[in-house]
Amino acid sequence: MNQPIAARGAERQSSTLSSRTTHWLQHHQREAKDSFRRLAQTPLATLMTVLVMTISLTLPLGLGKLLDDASVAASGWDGDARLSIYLKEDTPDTVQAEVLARAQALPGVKSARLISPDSALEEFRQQSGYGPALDQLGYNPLPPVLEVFPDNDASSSEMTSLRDQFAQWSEVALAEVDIAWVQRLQTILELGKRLLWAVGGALLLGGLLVVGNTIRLSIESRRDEIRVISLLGATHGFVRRPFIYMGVWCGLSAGVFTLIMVSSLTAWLNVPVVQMASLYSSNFSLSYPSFGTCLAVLAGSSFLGWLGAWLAVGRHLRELES
Amino acid sequence: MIRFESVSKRYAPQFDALRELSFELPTGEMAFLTGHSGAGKSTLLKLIMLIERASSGRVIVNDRDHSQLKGNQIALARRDIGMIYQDHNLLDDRSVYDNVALPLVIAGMQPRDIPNRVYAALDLVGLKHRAKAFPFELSGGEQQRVGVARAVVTKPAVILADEPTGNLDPQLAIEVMNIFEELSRVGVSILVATHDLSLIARFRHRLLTLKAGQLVADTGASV
Repeated sequence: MNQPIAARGAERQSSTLSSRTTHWLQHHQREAKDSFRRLAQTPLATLMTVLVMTISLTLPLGLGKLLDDASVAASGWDGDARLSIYLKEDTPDTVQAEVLARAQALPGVKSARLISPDSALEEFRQQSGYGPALDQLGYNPLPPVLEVFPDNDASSSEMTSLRDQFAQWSEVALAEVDIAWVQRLQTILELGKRLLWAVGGALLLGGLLVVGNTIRLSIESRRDEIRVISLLGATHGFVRRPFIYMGVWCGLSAGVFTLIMVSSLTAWLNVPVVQMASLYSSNFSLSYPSFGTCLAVLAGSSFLGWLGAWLAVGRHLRELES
Repeated sequence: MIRFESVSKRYAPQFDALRELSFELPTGEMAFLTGHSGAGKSTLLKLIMLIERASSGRVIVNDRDHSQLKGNQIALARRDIGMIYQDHNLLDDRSVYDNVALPLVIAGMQPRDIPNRVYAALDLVGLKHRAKAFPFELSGGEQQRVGVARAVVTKPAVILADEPTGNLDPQLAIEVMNIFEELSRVGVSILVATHDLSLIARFRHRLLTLKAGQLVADTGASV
């Protein structure tokens, strides 16, 4: 203890940058371990926090994935709305061509194409499997059809008025608006996404508050310790660190639990989903979280824990200091 | 070095804990601070420790003007002051060793340098053999000495002691005072707040006497 005070400055400066970095890293490692140990000392309370966070992450993530899968499936179908204009069966080819040209020139029409009775029959023969029966029929019962695609942003009332125009043409037997149910599905999915943002945001806020509250309780129980180390010259960063690590550990654990939950739910739901999809001759199934998604979830949940802890610590340290 | 320049501390409109207090404790000097309860001893120590701020006047410790310090500067200033508390302020969930090592860990000392310093400090107060014990396993006097070890382990330029001998029997009190004298000889400024008149009489250092927040007597430099 008899070292003169002046020697201390030299002692401090002698530490090199790399050794200080190493030391800093070691310190962080110790703090991280210590925080983990403290959380493990109260397993039930920690588990409750982590589970609440897990729920607040699982719901938005699970629903989001479900919506994503459904959107991908829906976009696989042709979502364009169209009109089917059935011409009279005995319409001559020249008139058919003339009707097509007129339809294409109509305002509000993006494009139109003619499906001749022959090509329609051929398509039907291939897809339906009724080939032999059709052969027996001896003649083609299908009428020529105009497939009309209206402008992209056509509203349903514009589509209806377009249909009414076609219906008045003398060559037209029947004009129909194909009900664009895929488009409706996409609208519903869009609504679902917005709802997800709202509900997901509220749930994430809940997760933030839960981790913040856990940290607050931990700060309360370590009030004396914080006071003592502050008096011994601990910086704000030093005082904060164990609590920040606590938040990150909670968040990271919740992320792991969330991935387990979402994967299990996907597996569990996939059985009926695949069965139902096969009834609609679709090979749709729910996808498992990708590697990238897993990383993003873990990073996101750790960030959530970090943020909750940071907010709680900031607030309560100010309180302790005042 | 501690210097007070016309320092006042007002807690409430009607209550001045310190009034126009001026004194200087140069490097390497040891002084007693005495006075009745409520005379302002604790307030004076709190101003030096930056637990409180002066209402007016300047507190300068180790060439730092305390009124200018903000944020982490406060933390850095505290590292150069070793404080011994009447109620020890030891952390009960850590061993004696860890308690004494704490200021070094906070100051960011290399882990390999810590054990030597800690054991040297514990040796100084005669508690090297209790390093692994926890504070609650120790007697009041032993806890007090662990507090002394923790205050001196960083080799601070200033040491403050608030009734450091309150829990010690006379023999140990004298030993602790001897440690302080030894430290002051190597350049540490030491301010000991105490009621213990026999101790004051025995060691005959400079004596600052407070009464109702004012310095009413200052014997000057040590005899």
